[in-house]
Amino acid sequence: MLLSNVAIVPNTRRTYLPDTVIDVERVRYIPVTGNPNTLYRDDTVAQEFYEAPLYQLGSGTPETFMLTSEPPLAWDVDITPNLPGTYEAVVLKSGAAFSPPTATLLNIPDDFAWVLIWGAMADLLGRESEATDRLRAAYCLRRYQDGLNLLLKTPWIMLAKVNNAATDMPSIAAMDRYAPEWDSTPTSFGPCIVIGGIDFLAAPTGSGIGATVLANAPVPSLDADYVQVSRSNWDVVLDLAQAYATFKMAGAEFQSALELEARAIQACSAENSRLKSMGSFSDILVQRGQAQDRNQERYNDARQKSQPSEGTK
Amino acid sequence: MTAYSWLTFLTARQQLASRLADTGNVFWTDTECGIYVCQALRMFNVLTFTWKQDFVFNSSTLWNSLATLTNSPRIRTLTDTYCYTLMEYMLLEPPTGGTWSGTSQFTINDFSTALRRNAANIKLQPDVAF
Repeated sequence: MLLSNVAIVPNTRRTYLPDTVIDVERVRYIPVTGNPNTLYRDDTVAQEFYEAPLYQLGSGTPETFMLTSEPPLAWDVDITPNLPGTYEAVVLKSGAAFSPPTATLLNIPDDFAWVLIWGAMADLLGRESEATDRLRAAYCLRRYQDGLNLLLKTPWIMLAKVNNAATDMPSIAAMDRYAPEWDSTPTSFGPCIVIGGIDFLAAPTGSGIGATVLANAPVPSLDADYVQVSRSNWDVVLDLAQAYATFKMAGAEFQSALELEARAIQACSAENSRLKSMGSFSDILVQRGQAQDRNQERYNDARQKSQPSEGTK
Repeated sequence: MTAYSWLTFLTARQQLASRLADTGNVFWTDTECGIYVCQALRMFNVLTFTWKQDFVFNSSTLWNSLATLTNSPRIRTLTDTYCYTLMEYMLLEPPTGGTWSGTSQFTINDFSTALRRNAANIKLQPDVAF
């Protein structure tokens, strides 16, 4: 999400972030006068190699930023700003703290709430307590890890239009490289839709934007509501529901229900393949939402090895 | 979005209860069966990428979140209370949401701490700019 109006203290290299920020993807320098400048991401080694004598540089317009690896989270700029102004950053935030009984939005896509639930259940059943159940804790942890992998591959956006014309969907990193300061002209850049992370995008202001997305699954609430599932897939959904329901039985009953779950997941995989086979370029379609991750791979690679990088596809 | 009109939610819950050999809803309540059906539908969607949908909006700001835009098909609605309820069902505790009335094995604080820790972990994954 966007973190705006981070105050600049002139002639100061380091900017500390609130503890609700857990990562930073991009930083932009916006002085009170003059042009904004999007900062290239770097690290100390690169700055010392390529910007020597780094620590003797005078103040001016910052060009690069680097995240500190020690707490609290902060970024350093190569050249200390000589003007007051603000930074604007694209960041990951931890979200609101939960404080039951007040209901708080999870801030995770609805269809992935189960990942969070399995993770929490693994914690609850895995700790040393009266409730310890190693077998089910291990199962919950497996489901949680599967869910994370699935989340990273989710095709949350597939196609885009600006004013009803098909457009490209570059990542923020790609736009910063190939169309520097694109967001200084918010009404006329592109036309394209710029992809951040899941559900986060930039689009030309004042334009009609169209996006083909993977919607939340329609879920019924009233008795007479129709369940949105085809006749051929209902058994699969029922298998999944039954597997969920038997979790609380634990022991052998739960173990035997895992066969049902495996069967259902296999059937989902077949259905997924069937849907993919309906398009010649389905493989590209389902990867477009991950553009920012691929283009920032130098920084993301250490966090997640399982994603294919652009150069290895 | 209505594509199918052959199976009502009521019938779906009854079919699940029947699968569980509990048509009287003694061990799995009707509400509980409904929650499992909805969870299964969500799981099915993320495994198959079924519900692709076009969404049109006027961009009044440069940065937009599909999680919050009006009428977005990806709007986020689920709360921690929903998770507590589901977890309570799965752990054979009374399904009272964010208020604890169950055994001494857990407290609501255990639930919320576990949820918060995992929510932060999920957000640290690359490409998850929630």
